[in-house]
Amino acid sequence: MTTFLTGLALALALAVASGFAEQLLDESTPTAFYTQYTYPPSDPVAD
Amino acid sequence: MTRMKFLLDSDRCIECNACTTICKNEHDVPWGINRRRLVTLNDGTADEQSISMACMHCTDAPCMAVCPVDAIYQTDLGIVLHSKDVCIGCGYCYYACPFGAPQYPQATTWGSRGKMDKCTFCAGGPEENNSEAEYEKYGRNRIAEGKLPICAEVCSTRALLAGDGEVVRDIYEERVARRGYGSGAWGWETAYYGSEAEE
Amino acid sequence: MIVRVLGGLVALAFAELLVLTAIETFSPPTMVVPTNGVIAGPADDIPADQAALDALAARTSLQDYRGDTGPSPDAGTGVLAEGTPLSPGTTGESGAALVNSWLANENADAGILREAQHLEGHASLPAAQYGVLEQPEGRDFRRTHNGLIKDGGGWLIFGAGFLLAAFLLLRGRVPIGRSSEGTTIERFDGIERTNHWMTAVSFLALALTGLVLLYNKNLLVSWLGAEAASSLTSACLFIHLAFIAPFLIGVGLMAVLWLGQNLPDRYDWPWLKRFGGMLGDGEHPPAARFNAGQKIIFWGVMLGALVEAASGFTLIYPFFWTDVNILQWVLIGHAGVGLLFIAMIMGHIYIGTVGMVGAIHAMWSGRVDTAWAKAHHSVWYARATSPEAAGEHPGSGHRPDPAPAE
Repeated sequence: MTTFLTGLALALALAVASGFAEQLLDESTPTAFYTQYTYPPSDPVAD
Repeated sequence: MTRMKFLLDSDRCIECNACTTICKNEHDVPWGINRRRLVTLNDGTADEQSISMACMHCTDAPCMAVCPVDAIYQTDLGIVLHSKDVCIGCGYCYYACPFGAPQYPQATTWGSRGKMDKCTFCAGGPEENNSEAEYEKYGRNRIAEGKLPICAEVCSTRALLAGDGEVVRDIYEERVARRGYGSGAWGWETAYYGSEAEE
Repeated sequence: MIVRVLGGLVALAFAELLVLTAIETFSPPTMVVPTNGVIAGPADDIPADQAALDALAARTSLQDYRGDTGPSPDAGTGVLAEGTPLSPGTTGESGAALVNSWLANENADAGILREAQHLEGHASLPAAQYGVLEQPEGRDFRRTHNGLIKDGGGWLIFGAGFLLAAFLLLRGRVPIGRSSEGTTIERFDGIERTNHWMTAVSFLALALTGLVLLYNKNLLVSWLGAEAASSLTSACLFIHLAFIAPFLIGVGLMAVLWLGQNLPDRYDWPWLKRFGGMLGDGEHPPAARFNAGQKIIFWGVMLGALVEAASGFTLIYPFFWTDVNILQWVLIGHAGVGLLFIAMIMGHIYIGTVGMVGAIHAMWSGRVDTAWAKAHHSVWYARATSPEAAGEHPGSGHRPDPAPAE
């Protein structure tokens, strides 16, 4: 029982931590999906 | 039955980009999204053709079929619209669309794409017609005013035609007959007759 | 005489002209002014009144950035009646009838149709994806996703459930085959068990949220309504991503702890030939710490986790290394392998709980009945209890203590 609960707790803790990390890592300025641009454009894709 | 369609006469398109520009302006399109774009085939050669592409508003639209939350719907005019309130930004509609119409405004660390945005045939969305809310989310609703998409109405050479599919077809066929050549209706086979009664 | 007088008169005339020229040269230039009509002709255009001037000035502002000005001033009341569809009903039969009427135009349109082709060119936009004009493979993706994958998921999950339940019905639980000796031996230590449960919980979370993403449209939207189903699915997407870390850490730890013991050994083939002895009630074939069936599960998990992680990360960063056509395969693969994974784990859960008497203790408390150990993992038991095993890593099992079995 103990190991099950510990495992469960670890899984949930890591999941919650991942969720927080995702929020923190998001850039404040949303980038354009296709081009991974930040505004103003700094690294146009060469064609 | 009146069914809305786009048709691009690539023998008239001069790649002026008026359509792409006015679309972005008229609907205050989110930055980074290009509802309408010009694709040039065989650039720089004698066979060079430019085709203006947005959303084809397909029959049996694959985007509608794969959306996990049924955010995309079709009106009786054939116009494919979607709800940004229901959309979860999963991206499936982009994989299913043969024309690359759905686009997303964000690329965050965990791939949360934000709310999908695409050409609405200038017909807004599920909000009340011509309301402030509709304009903010989906842009202007010209269809409700009895007008046609502004990209076609602004086209400098009448290359981009929009409206009743049968009328558009007749206009184009008449042109082809008069001048003796035509590249055909780009995308129509896939968009309007590619169904095979899929799910 | 007269000639000279005439010459003088002409000179005088020219002098006069020179004066005029001088005056013209040195006086300031004059302006042209609007006349509302042809110059020196009748006035044609009516002068604009203030209302017209105001209207034109207002119209000019249409060219301003829409984000500041909002929609055009002529965006007013619509010609379509509010909330009234042009044709009665588009759902169900009426909707299908409407679509069929659209499809019926194919002959009329035939003269202008081109064949469906994959076309790529160049759009002057900063992403290569925009250059894809048409990719008919999108419809193929839809057919595969909604057909093979969704239907396949039903076959796999319900089929696995059916087969396991039928096995339980027809064969019953696999007995130990010998009576308990009243002693236990440690089979998995605390770290192994904790890690297993962390991984198992993560897998369950990933599987259930993944199934919601796949089947929400078919099963949940009609129950919950669009908004609630959307919130649920959105939450499931977030949770799905949140459990990537504990799942991969857990699988990685499993590889570290158990990979060496899951390599093929000489007991595997005989074990497989007899289906692990699960069908009859006689002696079970010998096995080391992990029998062949468990090894299949282990490598299935390793491979499945690898494929799911690779495809999953590709889907999170879609254009990092590939384009839409590869991404279609990636999504199909992610869903398909996920469903296979779920079916496999259903079997694993079955045999570890209901399917085999005494098995659950191995992962729950870590200590199994020595009779169970001798019956199912005779080689492991022998190694674990041999004199050389004393003091070894718990993975090989402790000496049996005289404590009664739980």
